[in-house]
Amino acid sequence: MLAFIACLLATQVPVDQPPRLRTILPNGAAILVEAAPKAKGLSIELFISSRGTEETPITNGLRHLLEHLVALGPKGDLDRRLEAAGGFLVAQTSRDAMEFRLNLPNGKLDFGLKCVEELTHMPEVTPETIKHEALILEQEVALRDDSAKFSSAAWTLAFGDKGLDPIGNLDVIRNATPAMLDSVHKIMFSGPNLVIAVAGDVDLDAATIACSSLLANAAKRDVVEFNRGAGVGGNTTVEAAGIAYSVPVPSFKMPETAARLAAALAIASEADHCFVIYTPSANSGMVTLGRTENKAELETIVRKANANDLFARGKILAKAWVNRNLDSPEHVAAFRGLLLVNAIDLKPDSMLENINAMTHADFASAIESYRTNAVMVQGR
Amino acid sequence: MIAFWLLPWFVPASIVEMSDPSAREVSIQAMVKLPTLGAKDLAKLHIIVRAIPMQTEDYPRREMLTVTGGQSIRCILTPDVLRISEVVQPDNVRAGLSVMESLLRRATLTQENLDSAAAEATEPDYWSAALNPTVLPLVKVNQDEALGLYHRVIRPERLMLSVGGKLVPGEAQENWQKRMDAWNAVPEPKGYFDISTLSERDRNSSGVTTVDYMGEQIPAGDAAFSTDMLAMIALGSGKGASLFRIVREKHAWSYRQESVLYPTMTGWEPHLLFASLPSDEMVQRAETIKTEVLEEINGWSDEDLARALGMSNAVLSRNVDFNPLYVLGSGTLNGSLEDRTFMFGYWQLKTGKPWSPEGLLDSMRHVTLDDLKQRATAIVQSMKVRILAGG
Repeated sequence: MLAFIACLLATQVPVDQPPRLRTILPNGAAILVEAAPKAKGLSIELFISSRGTEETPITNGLRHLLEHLVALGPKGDLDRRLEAAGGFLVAQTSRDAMEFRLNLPNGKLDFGLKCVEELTHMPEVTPETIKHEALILEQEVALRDDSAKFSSAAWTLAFGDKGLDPIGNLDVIRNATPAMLDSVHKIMFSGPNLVIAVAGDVDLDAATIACSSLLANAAKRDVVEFNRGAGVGGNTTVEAAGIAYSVPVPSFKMPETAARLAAALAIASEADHCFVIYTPSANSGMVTLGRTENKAELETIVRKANANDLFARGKILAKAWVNRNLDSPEHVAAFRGLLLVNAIDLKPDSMLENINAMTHADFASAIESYRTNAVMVQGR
Repeated sequence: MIAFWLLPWFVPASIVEMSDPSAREVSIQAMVKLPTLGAKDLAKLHIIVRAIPMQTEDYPRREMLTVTGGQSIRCILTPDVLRISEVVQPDNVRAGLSVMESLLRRATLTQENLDSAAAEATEPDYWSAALNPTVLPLVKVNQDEALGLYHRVIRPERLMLSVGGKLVPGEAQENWQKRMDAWNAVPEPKGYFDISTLSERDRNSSGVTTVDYMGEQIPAGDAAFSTDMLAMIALGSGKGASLFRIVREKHAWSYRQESVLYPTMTGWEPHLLFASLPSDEMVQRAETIKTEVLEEINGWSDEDLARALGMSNAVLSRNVDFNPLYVLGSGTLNGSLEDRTFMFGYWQLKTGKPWSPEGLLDSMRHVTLDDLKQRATAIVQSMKVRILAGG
């Protein structure tokens, strides 16, 4: 098998030059390895795209439930073994992908990939395990912070059933069956939906071969791209403190997205305690600018924001946002992996190029979008 | 006597530099050890810290943001320190130090800014409320008393500056020393006391119920701190920890449960804490959990010691989430330049010793299973439970 993979690699043309290597396997699975020779730790991330399992009101929450069950590992002891080795696992589900982040000490690549291999298997699921995990998810939903509530309300208004909150509907989760989860797992964990991103003090070729051998046997499957639509503005309310303005944006690689992100970051810098939420996507998405305190102040700032004052700052802050997502192996694997699982051609560089090319008029239009095109979410 | 009072009070600059050539930016942080304050002064100080970064005599807010490249200057209050934090580009360190000095000495604290800061006061989140259930009294603060309190709290002898990132070694130190030499702080006035006391909340206003077990204080600089911290990590840091396995995996009573070393003026309070949907059975549940945690400690094996050491390595070497040291006011320490720079100065200020994660880990490796079980048992047995019902 390894000889086969090595042969495959020899025929691949890496899209990027070192220090990173990106490889697409014949079954559509993708691998990104970035070398960070002086890194303190190693980051391995498994991403599973939601392509083919986009949620509807009757399946909303199945992916989140599956993530909880998969993260336990086949014997329910994955966390304990990882932590004993100085590692740590974080799992999360977003609209576009499920994600398992392994943070490990240097030199633990083989061990980490063995753990990733365990995460690709469908765990044994019974009605009892679903019932138990549903109780934990109920607790998780109760602890959501206000910024997440604002973002969720904006997505629902802008995209309707195509923007459902990935945390899920508790009734759907409670009524899930092992067969439902198995069916979601089969589609999700097929070749074209899988990405492994590795960043740390590793040899690019050796790490790529190891990841390839792990993903090469995943089923090949035809993929139908999902179109979320452009999104609409409007007004809505939420049971949370504060206010938020969310503007729909196209793909991560589009100039308009860079401009609206820069505008949100610049406006947010006008007062303390503001938040900006944006999850990169190849699909349309949302940039949410909000404040969970004294909402009148953010209303005033948005009303008065002008490009003359904020243009230079917006560019600096947007570049800093990109750079912060690339400042450690953990961030590199998370950011580049998320872009790759969305689409092969998404790269941080495209956002940086768009920020550099952004004109005053682009930025002014983006500022204006928060006054005219936004979903305004009013809290208490 | 009068002459003595008028003499300027020169103190050597307290500054630490943490060089990280791979960093893109420089973090500049000032930490001021808090004096003992009454409830009213503490409430006023909470308003003042919000007003400090709004404007100084030398810099309007917009000019400060020009120095920081648009990144907010944060000023926060934790139970033991007042902290001001800014980030600048490496070629802007001198300007950053100038802004920091201005924030520490010449904040304008206009009435308008104070009123605006007072209007920002909000309820703490469920986690913060559980760890510190004190309720600040409602106060109004005018500019004169705000400036008096500001100068009483922010004093050179209580100050530590920490500068971290892409540095020219010694540059910040030299520049800061000159600034400190010019700081002619008058001695702290005596006979000024606010003796009002804080009250405690009995509910968690967030809608979430919190169950907090609080143990006896561990003094700052305690010789056995490595054993204390390892015990807290074994109890509640990570998903292999006892609290996680019992509260979440066994009973499904909570999604979030952690161990916390909460800062006090003189040390740390050990806490085991979980948040939960409200339930009429919470008192019983709280008793059950404590009993089961004690039983579990009794059954800890070398595997539990290995997991605690592995987790300690992860949080101390690589700044993985779930470091029990709850020193930021909210959230856990991560590997950001800002957090690393903070710990470098904070530990020196708090304990008088340099922050050495490697040294702490090395001491932890000498802790035996028996020591670990004994210390964890003592901590948990000393804990008193405090339930704040949600709603």
